[in-house]
Order: sequence, then structure tokens, then C-alpha cells
Amino acid sequence: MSSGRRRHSLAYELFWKAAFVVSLIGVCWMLYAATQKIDYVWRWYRVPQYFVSERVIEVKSGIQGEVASIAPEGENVSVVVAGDGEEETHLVPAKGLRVGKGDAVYPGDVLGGEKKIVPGILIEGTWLTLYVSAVSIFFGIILGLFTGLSRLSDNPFLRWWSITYIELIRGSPLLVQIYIWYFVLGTLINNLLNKSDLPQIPTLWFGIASMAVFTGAYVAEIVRAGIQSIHRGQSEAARSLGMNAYQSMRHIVLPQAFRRILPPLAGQFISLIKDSSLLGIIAIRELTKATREVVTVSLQPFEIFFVCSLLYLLLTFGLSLLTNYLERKLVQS
Amino acid sequence: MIKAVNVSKIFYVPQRLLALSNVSAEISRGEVVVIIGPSGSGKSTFLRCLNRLEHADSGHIYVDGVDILAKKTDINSARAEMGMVFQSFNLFPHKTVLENVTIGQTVVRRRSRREAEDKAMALLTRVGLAAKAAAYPDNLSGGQQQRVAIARALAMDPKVMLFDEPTSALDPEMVGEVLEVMKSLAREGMTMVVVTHEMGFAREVADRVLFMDQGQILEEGTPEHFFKAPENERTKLFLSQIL
Repeated sequence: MSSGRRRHSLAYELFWKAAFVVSLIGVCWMLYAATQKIDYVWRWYRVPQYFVSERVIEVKSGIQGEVASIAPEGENVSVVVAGDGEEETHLVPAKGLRVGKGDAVYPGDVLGGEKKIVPGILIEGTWLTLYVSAVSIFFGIILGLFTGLSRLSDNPFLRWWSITYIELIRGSPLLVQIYIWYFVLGTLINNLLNKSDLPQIPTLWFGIASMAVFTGAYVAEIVRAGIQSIHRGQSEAARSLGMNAYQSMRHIVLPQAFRRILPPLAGQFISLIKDSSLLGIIAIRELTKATREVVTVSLQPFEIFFVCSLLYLLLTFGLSLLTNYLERKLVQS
Repeated sequence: MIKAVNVSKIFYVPQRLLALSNVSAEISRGEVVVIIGPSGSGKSTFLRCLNRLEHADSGHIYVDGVDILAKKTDINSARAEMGMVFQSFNLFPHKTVLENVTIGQTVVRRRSRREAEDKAMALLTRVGLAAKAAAYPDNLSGGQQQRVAIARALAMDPKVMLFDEPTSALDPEMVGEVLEVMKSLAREGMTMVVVTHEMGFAREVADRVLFMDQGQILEEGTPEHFFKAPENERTKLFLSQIL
């Protein structure tokens, strides 16, 4: 990086670094000042509840009668409600017990309850985004590797199918592809499954399929370029040792190609994480959809959208760090 | 050992180019044959046809009686019997020197790691590079890389060694160390086919010299005959230009 770059004085470096920090603060201040002019009230304290929330779980009686017995059972107690010839047993947390023996209860009466700390909607959304991305990346790699190799094959069947796939996928918007997966293929597949008395495939998997198939096409081109960038002499040397085409690919060409394709591959996967925000349109509650829901409830769009983008940054930056680490490790060997 | 009968090869680059035209040659066991000729004469193409890195368009090539151009021939096992050394070394840069010499043994010959490493170390000692076993090819000089490449080919216990201009990419002071290794191989009775511009090597080591030009073998004979009393006009012209 430093090659060909001029060496500057310390004062020069310090001045321009300071200028960067000052201008960054300036931009933030201008944004804040603008929101003040339109009377936007920042309420950051409302944000944490969407990360961690409390939920009250209540146990209710289903019949009319009276509490017949209360017996401890570990951390819970088992409450038996006896009524007109019927009996119900409920497991209630001991701490949150609200009835005593002999109390009369009616249907819907609360026997006991407890407060539980559960992950908030933003955390759930982030998790779903992470999950969808990870699974799509996994299948995208497999699909892309296979397609990339087919693209370089001598066999016209494999080659033409891979070209068809790549051009078809790269040539249409992901949004449209998601709609096709959900409304066309999803409907077809689930209807056929229904006719054969088989269980339906959940929406989430059509979302994952659309992302994986989309990424696979790009990965295929990256893989192809990586393999073609390895000098022909490498596979010739491998073949001259008596290796077959598979062995030469597996031991000689792919390991070398992998190093070169890691940076563009990382870029592709970072795009994928961000593109998964489109899945909200088919009712998958990933981070962006979760954010929009929170905005509707909280009416604090400025804070929530900023938080949302930070969460995406967290995911993509994590992936960057991981690939940087992999790259360094591969260069050492 | 090797018998080539009427081998022809056409390249389309993009014009039609007759790289080999009805070349026939025979190489017997233990013989060292040196192929010389001007650039573009087809000598490298001929060598590469011998282990089917280039697929000849017509003719027959028999190695140990097996027609390597026949469809049912298992070319991979045929290639394992023929070591090849390239002009640009083509060592595997992601593997250490030791791994370069063991990979063919473990993957193709199915030898155990221990056995392959013992053999590799013996060969590296032989080419004088045992100390570099753990190094990566990029940290070696050209001459050292080429000697590793020779060890890599020898590790397969080949019946014949093919050398494709092994010293052409080397700095002049490194040519000697590679030729030394090749000479010692020749003395041990290895069958060798060498495409080279090193006339000294041809004169000293070759049992037979083939002169090629325009895809044909124009003259063949002992080094004695070839360098002292060439008959073909083209050969005379070539020798007068380079000697």
C-alpha cells in the first residue's frame, strides 16, 4: 500500500487527522440541528426495550371450582382445581403463586404467573437475518462451486445450463426473484405437496432459496475467474504426475484459487447480508421488517433506523474480520 | 520404450498451423535423446504429445507398448510412469518443497505419508536441497526450483523423464547446477528425452540428437555425427548460427 506514497511530516498527518474528526462531528451536529428545527424529539431511552423485553406469563384456570390441593414440585407447584365433577392440574411457578388452598376460582382466573426476560424484537430480527444469511451463504457456496466448475467444463450440457442459470439470475432484480419464489414456485410446490398429503414448506425456506440461488450465480462467476487466474502450468504439472482432473482440481488448483477469490467472495456475502433486508416483503421478520414494525409502534423512526443500520454494520463487519483473518492465515501457509 | 509413428498436430492460433507433420521417432530404454531446433520448430509440442499434454491429431504413440492415444488407455496411469520437467518449473506455490515432492506419491501412488517423505528427503538430498525441505518455492532461486521439480518428477519412479527446455528460464549461473543433476541421471541409465538449447549438454550426454524444424525431424544421429558432419542444409545453417 505504502509503495509510491509520499512521506509527509508529522504536522501534516496530525492536521488532516484532526480535520477528519472535526468534520465528522460537524456532520453529526448538522443532522442534529436539522432535527431540532423540525421539532423532532430524540428518545434514545425508548430503544433498549426492543432489545430486551419482559414478558408476563400467566397460568389461568379453565374451569369453575376450588383449589383442591397445592403440592410443591421442584421450583414449581402443581395446583389442582376441582369443580363440578371435573378436575384440572396446573404447573405454576412457586414464586408467582396467587391462590391458596380452598379458594374459589372461575374460568380465566389467574392462578399464578411470572415475569420472564426475553430477547426483544430487534434481537430476534438480527438473529433471523444472521440465520438466513448463513444458510444462504452455505448453499450459495455449494451451488456456486458446482456451477463455476460446470461453466468451465468441456461438456456442453453442463456448460450451457450453467450459463443459462448465471445469466437468468444476474439479469433480473432480486426483488422480482423473491416474488417468483414466493408467489409462483412457493404456490406450485406447496399445492403439489398438499395434493400428496405432505407437509407444507414454510415461507422462510422460499426466502432462503431465493437468496442462495441468487448468490450462487455470483459465486459461480467468482469461482470461474479464480480458477482461470491459476496458471495453466499448475494443472499441467499436476496432470503430468498422473493426477486425474478431480485430483488436480482438489489438491492443486482450487486451494490456490481459493486464496484469490476470498476477497471478492467476502464482498458478495456482505451484499447478501444486506440484500436479505428484502425478505421482509414476503413476511419474513428479519431485521429490516422488525425495524419497520418497531417504528410503527414506537414512532421514533430516527433512532430505530440508525440502530438498525448499526446492527447490519455489526454483522457485515464481523464477516469482514473473519475473512481478513482467513486471508492472513492462508497467506502464511 | 517410446515409439512415435506419423504423429501430426495442428494448432488453430487462430490461423491453421501445422505444428507436427508426420513425425516418427523411437527411443529405447536407457537412451538419452536430445531434441534441438529453432523456436517454433515443434520440438516442445512433440515432447508434450508424448505424455498427451497435447493430444496429437493423428498417428500413434506407444509407451511401453501401450498406445497412449487410444481411447481406452488410462492416460493418468501412463503419465505417472513419465516424469516431466517444465521450462517454468511449475512448482506448486501453496505447498512446501517437501510437499511438492510428496503430493504425487500420496495422491497417485497411494504411498503412506512416512514412506513418501522418506523418499522425498532422499531425492532432495540427491539434488542438494534437503535443507530447503520446509521452504516454499517462491523463496528458492530458479536453479533450486528446477532441481525440486526434477525431484518431484523422480519421486514417481518414472520409467522415462521428459525435459521441456529445463534451463531456458534460468539465470546463466544457475544452468550448471541443473545440468549436473540431469547428467547424473543420465549416467544412472535413466531414459531421457530432452528439449534444450544447451549444445554442450547435447554433445556430452546425448546418445542421439534429433534436429527438428517446421514440424519435422530433419536429421538424427549421434552427437559426433551431428555436430561434426551434419548432412542437411537446414541443420548446417542452424549450427552455424548458434555455435
